[in-house]
Amino acid sequence: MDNARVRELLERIAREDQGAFRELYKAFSRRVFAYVLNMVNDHGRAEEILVDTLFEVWRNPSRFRGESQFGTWLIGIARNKALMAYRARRPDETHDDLDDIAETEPADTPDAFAQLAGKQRSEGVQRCMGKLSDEHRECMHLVFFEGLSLAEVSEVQRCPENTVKTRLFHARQKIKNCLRLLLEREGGSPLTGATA
Amino acid sequence: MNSVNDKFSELLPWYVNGTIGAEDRAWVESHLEANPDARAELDWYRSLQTRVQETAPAVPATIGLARVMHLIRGDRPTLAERVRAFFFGDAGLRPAFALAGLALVAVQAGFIFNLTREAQDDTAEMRGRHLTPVAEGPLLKLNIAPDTKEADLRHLLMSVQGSLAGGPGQLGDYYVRVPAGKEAAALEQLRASPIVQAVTLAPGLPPRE
Repeated sequence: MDNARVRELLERIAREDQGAFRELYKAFSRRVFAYVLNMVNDHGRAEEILVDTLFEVWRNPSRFRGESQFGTWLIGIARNKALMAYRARRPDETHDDLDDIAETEPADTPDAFAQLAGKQRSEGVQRCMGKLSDEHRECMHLVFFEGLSLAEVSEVQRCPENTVKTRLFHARQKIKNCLRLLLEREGGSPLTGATA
Repeated sequence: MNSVNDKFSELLPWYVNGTIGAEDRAWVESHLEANPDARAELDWYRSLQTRVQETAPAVPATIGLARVMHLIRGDRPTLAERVRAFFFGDAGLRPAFALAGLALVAVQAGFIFNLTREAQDDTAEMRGRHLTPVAEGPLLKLNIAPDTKEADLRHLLMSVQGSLAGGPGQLGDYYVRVPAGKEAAALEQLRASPIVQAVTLAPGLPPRE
């Protein structure tokens, strides 16, 4: 949904048009929920934060001034709420050897990339994403799930663009090593170019 | 890693998610052309993006909607809140509206006060005008409409040069004495008045009730 349509709906919401609110809600709820779930890793909490975020739009539709994409702006609100509500580590998390992912420079050979690309599965990616720090995981989500630009990620994370680049670099290294370890464990043999 | 590879790795995520600028896009593509092995890293990023997007939670677009609608229905402001919000709402004070409202109230209050004062002045004027008491002369018995104002009654008496000789009695009768020889004209004039319900010549004042 483009910003022009969003503005139309927000104007109607300002006149307490519940139909307009429903349309806006359905257009953005899954994105916001996915983002918050990635942050808090708890369905119940994520739904609460989603509801709270969209309710704020109902109460103050004029707060959105169109200076960014509405989805990015909405994620910014959800982020504040998620940070306030819950940012602890996942309560059911247990330590395993994947927590000891070294950030050493692996041998980035074409074969190593090709093996990862060919074998990695969404469950493994999800698991390895869960091992990243909050900032790194959020950064990965915003880039590869939300498809935000460098400037937008910087805006959401409220940090300089160079910090985003650094976070992304470290996240990339960690997730690549984690996936290698995971695949080695599944396959029983080291992958080409695995971290020593 | 050399600086060229560093730059390639730095730009690749934005190339993959489609938000890279035109100049950087051209640089990445020329690097890929010159270094076919670099495509493996691009393929890995693309695969990673696909896998990340596959982790999207399978929830309907209506997730949480019933809860937020419940909040909305419970959030309808009262009339007082709406009035307050209008003058002193979220967007900050609306001084122009607030001042205009206050000015309107002040003007209305002044206007009402003026009307009251004018009415009082009329009454005072009427009260100040000396009604020459008529000591002798025929008596007229009047029945006046119950919602008649004192000022209207005084006007009526002056118009017939009459003076109040008695009343009101238990039945609401007034006795008005008019100058001798003018009773017929007074009767005609009083019968024409909207506040007079009945008027007759009276033989004399009734005994004290």
